[in-house]
Amino acid sequence: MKKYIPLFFLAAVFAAGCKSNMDYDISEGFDKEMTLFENEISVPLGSMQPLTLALVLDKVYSTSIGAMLKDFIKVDADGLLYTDAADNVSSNSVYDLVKQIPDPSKEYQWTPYNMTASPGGGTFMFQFVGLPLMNQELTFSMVNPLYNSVELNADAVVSAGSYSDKKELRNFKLDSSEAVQLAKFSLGEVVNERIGSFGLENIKMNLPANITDNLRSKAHPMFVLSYQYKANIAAGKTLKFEEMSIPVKDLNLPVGQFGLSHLEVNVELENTLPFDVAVPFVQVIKPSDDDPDDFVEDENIEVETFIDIQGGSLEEPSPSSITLSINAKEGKIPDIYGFHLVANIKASEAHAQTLLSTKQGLTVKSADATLKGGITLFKYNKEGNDNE
Amino acid sequence: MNKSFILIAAALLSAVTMGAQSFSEGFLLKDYYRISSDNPAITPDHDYISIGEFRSNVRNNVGAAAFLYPYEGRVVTALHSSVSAQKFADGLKPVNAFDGGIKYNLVSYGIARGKNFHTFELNARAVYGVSVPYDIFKFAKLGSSETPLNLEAMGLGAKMYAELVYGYSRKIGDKLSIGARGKLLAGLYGADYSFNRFDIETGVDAYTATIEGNLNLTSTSYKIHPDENGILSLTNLKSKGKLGMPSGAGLALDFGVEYTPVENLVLAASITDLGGLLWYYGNAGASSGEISFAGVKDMAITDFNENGLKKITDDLKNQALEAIKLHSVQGKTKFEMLQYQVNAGVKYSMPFYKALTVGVTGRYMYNKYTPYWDSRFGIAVNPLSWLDVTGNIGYGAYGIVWGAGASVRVLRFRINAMMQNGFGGTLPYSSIPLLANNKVLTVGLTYDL
Repeated sequence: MKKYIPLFFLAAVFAAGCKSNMDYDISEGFDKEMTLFENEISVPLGSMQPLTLALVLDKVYSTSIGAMLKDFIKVDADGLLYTDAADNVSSNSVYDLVKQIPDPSKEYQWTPYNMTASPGGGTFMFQFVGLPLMNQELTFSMVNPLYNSVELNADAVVSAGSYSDKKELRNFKLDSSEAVQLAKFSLGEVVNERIGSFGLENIKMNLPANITDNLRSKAHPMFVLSYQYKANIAAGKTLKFEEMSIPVKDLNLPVGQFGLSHLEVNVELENTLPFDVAVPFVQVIKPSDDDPDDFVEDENIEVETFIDIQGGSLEEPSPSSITLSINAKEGKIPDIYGFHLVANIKASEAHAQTLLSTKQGLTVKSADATLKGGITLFKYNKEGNDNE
Repeated sequence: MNKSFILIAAALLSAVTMGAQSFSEGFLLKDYYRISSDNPAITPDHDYISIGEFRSNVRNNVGAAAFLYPYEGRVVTALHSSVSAQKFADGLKPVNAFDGGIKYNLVSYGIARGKNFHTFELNARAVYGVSVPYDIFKFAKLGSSETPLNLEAMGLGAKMYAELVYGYSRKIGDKLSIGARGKLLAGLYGADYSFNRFDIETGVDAYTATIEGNLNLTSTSYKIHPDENGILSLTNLKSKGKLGMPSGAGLALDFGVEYTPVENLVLAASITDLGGLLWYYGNAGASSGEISFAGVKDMAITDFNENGLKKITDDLKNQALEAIKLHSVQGKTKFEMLQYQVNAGVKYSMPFYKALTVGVTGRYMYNKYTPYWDSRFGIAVNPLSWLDVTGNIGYGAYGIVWGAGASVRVLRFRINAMMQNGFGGTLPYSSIPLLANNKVLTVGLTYDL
């Protein structure tokens, strides 16, 4: 029997060596929950083309209310924003004029009253909100309803605040035409006040004899004085929107499934808009239990921000760094319904009076995001003993 | 990652093998004649013929327990939050490799002529392996905080070659025997994909991967034709109708010595597989490039939608594919060393019961990523004239190891079976080792002439 003892020993070693460990039994599956990048994962987000005024205007114009602004805010070939207006200053019917002429068979010197007006349309609105009008141009034109030329003497005047200018029209030959340009005023960048009034003064017009025989059209023959006004829109020193509440609702970011605890986004911006933008306050929001249309702060999430963007210009872009940090107060960041931002926007002191251009905007030069606490996938579901 | 993925990976793990060794068992067994393939000096005193011995060696320097953990009554992966990064790291190696080999002895013929012994052998051998660097797991577990990642060690490969062996041993006096074997090697198939450089730098500014990879693939049987851009297309294979023709040639030598200083005491030492093969890789390819991901580049606000993001990922994917595309390069020859092995042992047959032998063996097996050694104490007993049994226990590169073997004689036939393994256990219902392990299985048949 002794000779078999070594065999028993060998059999025992063999059995021990081939033993399975049932603690590792995966024949019925295993828990697939995984947390990746436990320390942190930082990823470059890259750069973006500018968020320009052109894009903003397109967005605004696409709304029903914004579409109305299209008549007031226009874009020239260089991308500069401008507003314009055109209207008649005075319309004088030839038939009414004939009634004033003592002897229609003779030439007559007509000396009507001054023809003056103010720019119409919505031009007043811009200064009202702190957007001064710059490079103002004003053109006077007149309709001569006769076949004959008419000699005109007048003073074309324009005033804008303390600024005033006058062009003397002497023996001006008003040709037979629907639109004869009489005078053009270009106020340039030195005049910051909106044109308040303009017109023709001291008017003297030498009308031909038998004036009604020289009409180009018998229907409504009129001497019409009209103006065309155009001005660029600039950023004004007084522009200031403070404590603007901007709720961004219905985002419904499904981040809860990833079990994040900390998310930080850093962005390097370049600003060519002549506005300073600060966002001193951001909070994550959720729908209110009392009123689904209202929102309340999501108390599970804390947001830290440093958003202070200095104004710039196309010639002198202003670099800025902004940081947005989102932390779970306890546990993990749940799904995010939306954000509530409070923003302050004011004209940049360094770039006040800069003309607004559709090329101006905010450019993300670079951005990165850092996640801390890992990304959890396939969350274990205790009830179902399976992964979601 | 799912169960099937793990099982496939584990099956691969258990399938890959390398130059097999059963010296520790064969040395102690009295009637294992094929020990001459482990030590050419040890030969029987009569002729024999052996047919179809199969040896398989499976080696993994990490086990399934490095990736799976019991937790609250279930099994979780290493990426579960309950598994600390340190614990995960402790279970891994700088390069995690699964290597292996198969040696199939088609025929072995031994001729005893007095003090001389001649051996003729024809073997088919295969070696293959997969290596995965630690940095991949480190990135998945910890993230981008530790950079750069060095993935140069990543690779896979397989070789198959034939061995024509002539062995000669001679007894010098009564105590000493020396032997040597010369092996003519014929490379049949060879393939590997490896990297001269594979670095990934992670940062908030950009992720940059620098890749220099090489594909070596023999071309005797199949030729991979490049497309018009010089890219090897693995779907554009054309058979050359020369199945099994050599793609390489080589030479290897084994040396052994056996010494019996006193009766019943035997000392032995050997070194095997000293040599290599000169392969010709007619399907050679190289990929190189730099993939840089710096996030989106000047993306338009209007593109910031699902389609835009898809375009970005597509661009990145195309960039990555471009970098790893294999450009056809001129066929090349490459000399590759075999994985040499060193064996040593001492055994003593008990004077009071000569059927009982005890011994100590030691060995070293070279491998780039999984060098292996162990030392064992073994006993062997042949209580019956037709039964010879051995077992051993020892310690090696992967901890405590054990081995067992048996030789059973029926008439003139001898059936040999040997196994080496570790104590780490396996995944239930599989043979996948939980810990780093070196497993050898040998099964063969000889006939005494």
